[in-house]
Amino acid sequence: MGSNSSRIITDVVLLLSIFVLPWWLSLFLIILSFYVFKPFYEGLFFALAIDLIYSAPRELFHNLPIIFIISLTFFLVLNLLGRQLRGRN
Amino acid sequence: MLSFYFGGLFIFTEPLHYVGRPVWFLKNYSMDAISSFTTAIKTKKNLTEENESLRDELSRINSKFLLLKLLEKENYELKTMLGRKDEDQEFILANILAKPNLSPYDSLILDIGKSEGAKKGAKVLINDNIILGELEEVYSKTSKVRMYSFPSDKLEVAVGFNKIIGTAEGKGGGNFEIKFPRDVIFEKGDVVVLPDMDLLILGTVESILTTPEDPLQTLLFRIPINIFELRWVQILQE
Repeated sequence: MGSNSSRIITDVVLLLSIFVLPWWLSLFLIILSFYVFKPFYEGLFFALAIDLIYSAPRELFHNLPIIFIISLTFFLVLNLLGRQLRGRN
Repeated sequence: MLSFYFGGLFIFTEPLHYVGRPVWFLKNYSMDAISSFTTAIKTKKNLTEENESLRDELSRINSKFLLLKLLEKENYELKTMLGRKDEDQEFILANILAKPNLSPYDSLILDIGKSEGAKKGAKVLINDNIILGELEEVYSKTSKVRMYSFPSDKLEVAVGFNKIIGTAEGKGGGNFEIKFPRDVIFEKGDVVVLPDMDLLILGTVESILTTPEDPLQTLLFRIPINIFELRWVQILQE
């Protein structure tokens, strides 16, 4: 099975997961996909989708899309930082 | 700044709910099918025992219900005498598509929307008299419920028979916390209601925490129903 087809399957699984799995499990799967597929831009879309589907303005999170921000942090760390470390070696 | 840009993205919520609706229905349907299957394979002995215990519980609840009916009638008559007659309430029944465990925001998603007459700000109840929260966003076919128990959300409540007013703080998943001076007497099982809607129960006191150095006592209370097992809620029509 090629990389493209496994990526498509991952996309479908993640899309379903945001509707049926607990948010923390979906977030874990998104972060795992960031690690497996580089760069996995769709992961950011799925993270934003979780925020848009379920969120409501909350003081606790200062009205910010918290799942998206966590995912974006992992995305940047795994892609940019990983690339810089590889460049040094 | 990010929150400003995020606010603009909420136009995509309705299409996402539209995509999610059949998936949620399918998930709920398959959960029901699995639940029916596990019930079917339970042994006859287990079912007989469960049946007996449920009959006992039902007879206990029935006797309490009779008393409750009597008190309700008395309450209604007293309110009529004082000129505070309650209006008849109307509800819309809604199926829960997504429960709080799917979301980090302690929200519910319901299968009714503007087309069924749901309105923003309407109260969301269970069993006619337990209040969960209110409709925060109403789309054409779905709506989003803001539960009062979201962590750090504050809410005015009245506790116990004497209806002592205080500010409760949400703890998530239908749990709340409230602090009172230690000399105010409370008991486990005291009912917590909203001050302006005293027939709507928000929860019952589960535990009372005190420490020698703290002049305040902490009451922990929760919605008297497991919200993770809920299938239906009622929307109170104003």
